[in-house]
Amino acid sequence: MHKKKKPQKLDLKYLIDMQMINKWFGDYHVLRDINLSITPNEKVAVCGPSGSGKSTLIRTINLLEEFQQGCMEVCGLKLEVSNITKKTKREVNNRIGMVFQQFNLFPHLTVLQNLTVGPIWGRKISRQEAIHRAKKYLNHVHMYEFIDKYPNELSGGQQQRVAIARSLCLHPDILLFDEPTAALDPELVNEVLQVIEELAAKGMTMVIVTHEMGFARNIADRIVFMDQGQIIEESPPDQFFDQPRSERLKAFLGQILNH
Amino acid sequence: MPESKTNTFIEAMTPPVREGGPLGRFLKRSFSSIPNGLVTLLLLGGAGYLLIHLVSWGIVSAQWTGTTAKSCSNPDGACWSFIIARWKPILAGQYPVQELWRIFLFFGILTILIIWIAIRRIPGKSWALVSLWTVFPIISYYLLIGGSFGLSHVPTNNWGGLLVTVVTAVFTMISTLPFGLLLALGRMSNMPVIRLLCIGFVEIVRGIPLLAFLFSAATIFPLVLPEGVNIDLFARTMIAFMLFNGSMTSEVFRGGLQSIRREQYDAALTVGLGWFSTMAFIILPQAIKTIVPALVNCMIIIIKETSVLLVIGLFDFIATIHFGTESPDWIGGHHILLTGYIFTAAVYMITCSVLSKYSRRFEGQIK
Repeated sequence: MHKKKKPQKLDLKYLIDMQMINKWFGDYHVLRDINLSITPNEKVAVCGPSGSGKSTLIRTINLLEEFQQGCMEVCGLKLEVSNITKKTKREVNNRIGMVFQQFNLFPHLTVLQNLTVGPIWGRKISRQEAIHRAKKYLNHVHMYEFIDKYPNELSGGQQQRVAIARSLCLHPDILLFDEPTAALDPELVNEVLQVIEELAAKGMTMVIVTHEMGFARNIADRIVFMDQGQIIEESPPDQFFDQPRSERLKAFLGQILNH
Repeated sequence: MPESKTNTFIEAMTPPVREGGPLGRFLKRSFSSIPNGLVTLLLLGGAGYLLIHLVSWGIVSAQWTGTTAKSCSNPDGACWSFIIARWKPILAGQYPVQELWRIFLFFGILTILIIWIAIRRIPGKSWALVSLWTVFPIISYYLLIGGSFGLSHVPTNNWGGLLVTVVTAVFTMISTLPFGLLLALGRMSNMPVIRLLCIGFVEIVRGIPLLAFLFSAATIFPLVLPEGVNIDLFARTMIAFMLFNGSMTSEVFRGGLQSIRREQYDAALTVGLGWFSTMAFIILPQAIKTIVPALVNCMIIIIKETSVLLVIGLFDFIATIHFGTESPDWIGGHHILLTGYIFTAAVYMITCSVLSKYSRRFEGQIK
């Protein structure tokens, strides 16, 4: 058995537990005293005006961005400013999948190769098992017939569904979505949202940065509102939309819901 | 008011046919006005004049047989007999005649590898590439230098001609690509010592003219070696070529690596790939696609660069032609040196244009 084989079931109270996380881009204070805990199977949507630090927040969870103060625990791994190394970055990313706004498929690889390169070369899973997984998850996202296409032969929505399948192939404990539909033509948004909803129904733990308020309300157990690098408010969807407490959230909802 | 909207479906149609054949269109464009027509006539006339002269000089009035300068007595024709009679020194310099089969075998293996890599229908490209970087240099070393496996030892100072040029060009290419890639990766590394070493090396070597660099390898380098250690001139030259061209190609590789967006690294990390597999499977395949034209340019420069070998006392292709005209048998004929140089130019030109043609086809394939 491989040494790095992850435990099948993580028996943790929180899959993500961020405490007093602060981050700067140069002099710009982009994340301010972030405290955020996410329990297994929870679906959390992150909303807020652009530039509020939403994307940076979820990119910090899987260490694509390093934080400069505070500490966090991700899937049982304790992370502090001092122990962020290439090794911990890989360990964290072995537990977390991520779907990007711009899909970020590998343009020189076919759909199948996009899905198997990580498992085979990163995770040392047998080629046979990796292909088996790839086919299974391509079926889940209704993209099986495109298995031999290259990304530039697919529409945006199809590329994003492949990207979702790619992240599933690694059997992540958490899936992060960074504005998964923001780069899509309007008529392609629904096919992607539908796939995410199917995943949610299967019990995947998810953190979703999104501007699709209706979708967030449908799918999320909790919605987090960010502004200027801070978490201003977090509450269940009904309360979030119907009884916002802070002025900033009221103003934000007023802006997006009146259109 | 005209009806601007209809519900009728417009069938797809074929595009209009272009008038006139290719020749018709050529004539129409080339003679579209009087000045245009004059320029066309002038250029066609000039080209025709040159072509007629070349054919008359190079074929009709040329001399093909003979073993001395006396055979080339025609003042209006090329002296191909010089090339034909001296094929052996031009091909291999002082390489022993009874060992020439080793050179033919070397060129044979090289040709097979090149055809294997270049022709798309032949399968197993990765094997050809792998052997080019592993088995091929080892076999070539034992084949050409000998000294073991029952082959007699042929020291490199007996080598000459096309052999020296081809061996230098091919092995400089083979060693330069990985070395340049390593330099580029080192230069982009986040380990400061490695990065500074690579930057320093590249900037210093790029700033030195090739000739100065070769002279140091030929004359100064042996002085700093400890007593008793002796690396032969040919090996020193090959190392100098590798270092010099490595610093050039490393900048090409760096350009290619920097053209890959950061998102690709992010995506590679999130699918669990480490540094090595990210580079090997995600970044380099994409980077190399974008730099194929620039890399081929580097290869062409390497091929042409080998002609400076004669300055440090190695008898390369051009040197054997040049000094051949000074050999007692070949003094005093007509057009001997000119024929030699035109022959040299043609060989270099054909090699380089085949290479660039191949690279253009390769670019077309990978798009």
